[in-house]
Amino acid sequence: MTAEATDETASQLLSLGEWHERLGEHFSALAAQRAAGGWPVFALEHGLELGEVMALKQAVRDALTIHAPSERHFLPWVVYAAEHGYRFAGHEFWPSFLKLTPGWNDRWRHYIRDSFKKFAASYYGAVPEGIWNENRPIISWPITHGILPHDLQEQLTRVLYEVSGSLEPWLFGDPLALGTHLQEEGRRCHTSMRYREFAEDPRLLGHITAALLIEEPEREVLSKRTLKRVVDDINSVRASAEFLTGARDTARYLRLRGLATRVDGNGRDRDGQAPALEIGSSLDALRARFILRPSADYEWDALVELPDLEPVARRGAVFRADLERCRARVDASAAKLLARGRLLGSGAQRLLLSDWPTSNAPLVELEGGSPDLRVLIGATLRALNGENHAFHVAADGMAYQQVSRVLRPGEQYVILRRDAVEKPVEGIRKARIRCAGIHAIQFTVPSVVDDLWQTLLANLDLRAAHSLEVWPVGLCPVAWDGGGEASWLESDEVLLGVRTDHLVDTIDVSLNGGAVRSIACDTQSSEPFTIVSVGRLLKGAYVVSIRTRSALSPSQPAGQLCVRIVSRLGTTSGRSERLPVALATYPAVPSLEDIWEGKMQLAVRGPTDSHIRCAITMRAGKPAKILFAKSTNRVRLPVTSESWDRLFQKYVRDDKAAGEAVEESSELSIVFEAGALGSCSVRAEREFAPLRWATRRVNREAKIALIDDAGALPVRVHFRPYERPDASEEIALADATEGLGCLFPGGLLIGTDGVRTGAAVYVPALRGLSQEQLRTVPAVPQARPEAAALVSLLLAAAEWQGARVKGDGIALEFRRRATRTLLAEVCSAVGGPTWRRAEQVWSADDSDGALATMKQSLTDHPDERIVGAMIIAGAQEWLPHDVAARLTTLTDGVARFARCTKTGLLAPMRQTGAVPLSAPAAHLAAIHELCEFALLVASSPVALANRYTMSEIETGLRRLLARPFILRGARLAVVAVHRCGVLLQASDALYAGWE
Amino acid sequence: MLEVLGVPAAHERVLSSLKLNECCTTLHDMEALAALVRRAASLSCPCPPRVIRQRVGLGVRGLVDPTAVDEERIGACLDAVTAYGDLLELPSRDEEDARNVLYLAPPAFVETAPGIVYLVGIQPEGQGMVPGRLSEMIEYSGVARRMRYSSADDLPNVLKGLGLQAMLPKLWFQQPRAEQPKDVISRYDAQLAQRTTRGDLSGLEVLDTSRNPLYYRGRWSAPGRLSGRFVGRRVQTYGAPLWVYVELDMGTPTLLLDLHSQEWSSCDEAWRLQMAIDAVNGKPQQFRADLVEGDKVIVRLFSPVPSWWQRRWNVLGRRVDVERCLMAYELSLEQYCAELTMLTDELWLRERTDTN
Repeated sequence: MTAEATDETASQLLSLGEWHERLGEHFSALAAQRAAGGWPVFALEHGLELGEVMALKQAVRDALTIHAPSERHFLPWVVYAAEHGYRFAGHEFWPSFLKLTPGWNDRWRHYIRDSFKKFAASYYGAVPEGIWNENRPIISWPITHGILPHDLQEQLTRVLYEVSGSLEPWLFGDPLALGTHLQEEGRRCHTSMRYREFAEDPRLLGHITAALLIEEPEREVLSKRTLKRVVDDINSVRASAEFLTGARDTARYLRLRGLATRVDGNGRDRDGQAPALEIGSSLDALRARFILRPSADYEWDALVELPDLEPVARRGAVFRADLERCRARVDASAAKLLARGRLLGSGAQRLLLSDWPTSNAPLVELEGGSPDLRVLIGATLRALNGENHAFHVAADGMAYQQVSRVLRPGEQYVILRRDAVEKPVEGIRKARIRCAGIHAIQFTVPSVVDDLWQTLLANLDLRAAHSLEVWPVGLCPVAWDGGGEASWLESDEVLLGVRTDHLVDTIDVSLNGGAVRSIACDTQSSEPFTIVSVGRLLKGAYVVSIRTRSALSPSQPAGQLCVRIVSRLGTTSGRSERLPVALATYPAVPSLEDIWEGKMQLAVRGPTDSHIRCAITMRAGKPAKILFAKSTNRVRLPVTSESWDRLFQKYVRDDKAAGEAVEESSELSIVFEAGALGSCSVRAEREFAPLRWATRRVNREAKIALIDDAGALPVRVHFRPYERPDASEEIALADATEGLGCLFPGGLLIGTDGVRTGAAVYVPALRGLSQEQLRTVPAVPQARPEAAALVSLLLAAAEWQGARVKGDGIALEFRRRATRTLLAEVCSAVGGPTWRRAEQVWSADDSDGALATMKQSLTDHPDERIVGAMIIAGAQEWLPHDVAARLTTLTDGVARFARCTKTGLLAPMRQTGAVPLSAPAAHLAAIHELCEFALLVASSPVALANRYTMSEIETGLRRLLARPFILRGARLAVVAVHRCGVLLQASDALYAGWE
Repeated sequence: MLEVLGVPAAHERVLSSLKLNECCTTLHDMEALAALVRRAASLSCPCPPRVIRQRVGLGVRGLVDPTAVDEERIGACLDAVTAYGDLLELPSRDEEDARNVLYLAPPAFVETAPGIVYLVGIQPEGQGMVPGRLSEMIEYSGVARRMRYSSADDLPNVLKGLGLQAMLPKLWFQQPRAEQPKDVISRYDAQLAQRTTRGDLSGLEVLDTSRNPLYYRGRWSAPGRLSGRFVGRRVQTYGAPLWVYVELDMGTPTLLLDLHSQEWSSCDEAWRLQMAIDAVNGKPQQFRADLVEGDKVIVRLFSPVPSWWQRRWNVLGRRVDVERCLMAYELSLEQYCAELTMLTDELWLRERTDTN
């Protein structure tokens, strides 16, 4: 028998107490070693062989058959739970823990957390941080101590490979900074929701990354055995292994570079060369670039190139969320509106300009988003300042906006001017520009610039340069404006060609004003060019200064080239504007539930007239088992959000099999396949909310159970039956976690611990629903026209609208019906008896006839009828999503024609802190605010609840009760747009056109 | 860090950046030019071919002999990279702009035989096709990139895991069914007859069938006073030229068919149609085969052949730079013999010997 086998056998005989003692010694030694370096200890660093781990697990299970977990022997439990955390696959921690731990009682969950806390205090153990920890205060411990769970290994290595080019040497010495950097950079890598949650603890992320990337650390950050285990598991999947190797290669290179370029006390590196300049913030490089594209001889299209707004998104989670959520309006462009998420993570995008933007005006306006972000975007992406602009016609035929006012002899330029030049002098030609509000002239600067040309150029606020030519040599740079600015990737060697057209003695070159390198020019040389290597530079901005010297002529040309070194953008997700098929989704990482419930917006663009097929697959388990798969017929590009909704409805939601599969699935993938043009895909996982509802089968009976991964606060559960969506009954927590059986037609289940809420509309799946069952409609007793009562109805409506759907596919429709019923009752109660009848007609049949009834019921007064006419006429033009125009029309109509606004002045509901307005102006602002409030009441209770506090909602309702015409008008606008929207496209929204 | 480099040293640095030190000695080599084209495309697409030609041209200015690597040679290399499948020429994605532009073909691989995969497509943003260690396994041959592997490596699955798409060889090598040249012309004539008169077309150039097929560039001409049906190109100010089949009456276009289908690229359609026209006119396009080094054959082509054919020969042999022809491939004698029948029967080419 070998020594190892003997140890294993011996370890099988250890009691829990003996395991505790052995682990205590091990972790004490490790803690002493780590504390000096500041790196924490993880429970997975237990130092046990595989056989010993098995023995420890058995000892834990055996002990549990005898007594409850003991505080005295917490270390075996800590290791046991950390091992479970390492194997955790991202779904239902406690059910799987229970399955592997016979006799486990969920009441002991706190024991696990307390044990880890004790471990952290006694052995310098890691402490989980971030939102992930706040939402899951118990399971965050074993998962954190599982270091890098299996299911995240492939994703982390992919992210490391993609972002490794953006790392900087100093980051390797600071785990928090490294983790924060990876957290930000990783957001553009289209990782899963679960990975994103994992990455919310930047310290842990940085720690793990440092351990993985630094192969020969100055100090140990993770025990060798544990690191080997993790790396071996990563290497068992070859693609992950290759990603890790690639990332390690880059890290090694960067660390060496970091060592080689340490700065001395004078801020210079060892070569006497200054490091990258601090030229403003990272947003400085972020600006709109104007380009002219030739459409014919002396005829140009104007384009604007908008940068990827990733650097803005890195300024905060709110900014990122807003950039993913909000569409961008570019009024000067022909496209006007850009799909959600299009400006994030797909590289720079060129848009055709139909109108030349006003000087220095903001170019891009977000539809929504925080005021700070809007200001930032407005300040960053602006139109060109001034009245005339020089564009250099580059070798590729395009004309690029030039910052410098110095033109080079022999080169061709286009000058854009606000004023037309009616009769240009000889040598200058009028050019046509296919963009309103701007004129163009075009000319080639003569090789010899005489007095006349100097005057001409001076009139245009330009001047000519002596000829000193500098250009990028070798690898094509990322960008080159043909003049004074070029960008390279971080790994590129910057090579420049330098040429003068006159005799010089030397060419002096310097970097960032550092040591000057004089290059003697041999007039006899056969090579008329000089090639200068600036070397490989770290990320940042540099200035290369070049000056010629000649004993014959003291006045010699000099120039500067701004060299920007940028990170390589990783692209293994297959999403890029450079590929033929481009995909954007909102949310950027949708959940399975988002897709199923039609809450994901999607746009696929591709070459005109090309077609794609779409394959939708639902999977569950490991190895994954396919539960549903379907391919669509060929679809013509582009796919818009509306056409996607129709496609998904037709091929998936209308298929009974999909409805059955979705409940069992843990992943849903959508692949758009365009043959040789490539493919793009969306992969969505089931939500992993701390409080959530899941369906399951218990003894062949379908049940719905509450899963509580938060586990920190007492949870209350209540149920609203579908037939009476306003009613509520309390349910025992034990019953809810055990699983609830439910009779058709089900209802809304809500679990909340006061901080977190999990809600689901559940309709039990039946073999086949009868027509009568399908027609089941909810009902609400007539509400009193009192604000407090109506607030309750609105909050109930918000609960229904915001809930996930579970069980039968009809649950989506039932959720909509219940929410609409509640909203209709609120509007009826406020609108009055005539309006109530109109609402009833509309509820029964949302036809043109019903719409006419609503319009008729709006008012008896002839002036106010004009508002109805404005709304009906506007509804045709407002589509698809111009909410601002709807609000403006309603406000305008109400202010001009509604009698209720003519008596007394209204004050705004909310104090904005802005400059105080005059009473009439405040009155108008209050009408605008009330109309906006009314539109939200009439269209989306969730949006209302997100926007206003309870007391504000009550105040707003009181105001509407006093001015019911406004709510009737808002409601008419909602149903009129909905009617037009439904005619044009299928929609899963509560009301079409009001998503 | 500032350093003045001589031209050979600069070549070495650039080749090192491209990881081509092993297979190239200078930037004049086809492998090096193709890599520069792919790099420029990776950072420029979607764009017209001209942008890539100019960006590569600017990069090699001062480094190469301008008579050996001129815009024409870079253009030929770009065409070869496109024909190989690394780039796709397609209508623009912008609805307001119908011009053709080049897109990166999605990164993919084709397993042509057990143990050999060819890499096709380009990673955006200057990213390598595969991560570090694997990239050392890439062999460069003309415009082709291939990787050899043992069965234990399971390379195809690794590449899939890295995000590359597996492309079936039959899709990559797909070619139209064999037809008689007159049938090909009849098919296009029928389509052309359904088109309406387009009148004057500025920037139209046609392949003059009366001119010598041994000098492809010399066959291009303005419509002048030509009459008949011709393959041609309509130049666009910014986008790639559009291939057309046009009927001229004394130089004036009377019927015009834009050549584009979902199945084949427009240049492939045009080149094949021109081959059929030349064959029917009794002046078929020609090739010349020379035996070198005992068992290798250099096949010179004087007119472009469709991309499916170029792909096939990139795999069977390799593209080489040979003077006095439009393109040339090196094949083994055995492969050449196997291909000979297809050259004459499917592309209707005639072998040129010293006697003719």
